[in-house]
Amino acid sequence: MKMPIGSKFFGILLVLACSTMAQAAPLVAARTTDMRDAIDRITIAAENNGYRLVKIQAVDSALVKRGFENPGVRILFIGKASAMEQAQAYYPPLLSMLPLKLALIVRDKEIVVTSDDLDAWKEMFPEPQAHHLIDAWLKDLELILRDYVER
Amino acid sequence: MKKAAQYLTLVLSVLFSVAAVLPALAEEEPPLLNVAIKGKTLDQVTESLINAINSNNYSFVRQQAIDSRLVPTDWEAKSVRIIYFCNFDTMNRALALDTRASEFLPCRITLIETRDGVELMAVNPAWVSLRLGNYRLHEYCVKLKSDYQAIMNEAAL
Repeated sequence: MKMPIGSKFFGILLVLACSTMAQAAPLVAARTTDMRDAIDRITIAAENNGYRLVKIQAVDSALVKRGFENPGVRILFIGKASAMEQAQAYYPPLLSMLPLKLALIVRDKEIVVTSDDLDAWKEMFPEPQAHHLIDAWLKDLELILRDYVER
Repeated sequence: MKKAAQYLTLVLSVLFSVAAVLPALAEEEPPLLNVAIKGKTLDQVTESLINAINSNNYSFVRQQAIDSRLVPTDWEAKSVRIIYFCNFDTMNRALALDTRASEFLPCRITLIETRDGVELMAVNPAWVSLRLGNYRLHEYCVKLKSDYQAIMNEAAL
């Protein structure tokens, strides 16, 4: 079947646009629950993988308290002492990225958890010693988010 | 039908152009914003940084050691500190534009004590937003970046 040139062009554009926009790729996990339960689950998932909850930044209630609309976003900081020590010892600029951050976003009946884009961090810090640490944290975050979804 | 296809093609062309150009521009933005302050202690710089945050219309949120809550308080690192701050109005606008703004919110600056003084480090929000490919968010982030620079430079005075 012969395809009109316009349709071909349209198809190519769609593929190019999608591939270009796919560059930023944080880890994402979602499950049907409410914010309180999601925080509990992420806290447990983090602990199961050697991390501790450092701080919950209640962006949603902070904004509502000041008369703004509820963005349905909370930010959780998680960390582990060894990650801090390794960053300080091997690649101090990485300290500016710690503790690791997870955003919890309300989407209908789901709470979507997204990490920072650690692949972008590799562009930010191209040295091998930085990549070694970032890859380890990326693996940890994958396990934490999998735990959040599956347990 | 033909008109609809032309319209969609036009929309996608614009989308593609913007999405293609913004990440390319990211190479022109430094990923980190750094300022080195010589001859001052961590406590002195912390104080001047909090003053600079307030004078630039932001609210100081908190300060903590880099390993706060990860080790007993007495063991916390004395040489690396994080300062969090925000402007609630601009945070509201950024999150309304794109919830991925949570990647650089709340604002944070890491202070590292060095042999000569203190180094300030922060992720450049304009670098992040260029990668996200949202032009409206990027406009906001360019302003945020200049605010970071103003705060860090003021703290260095």
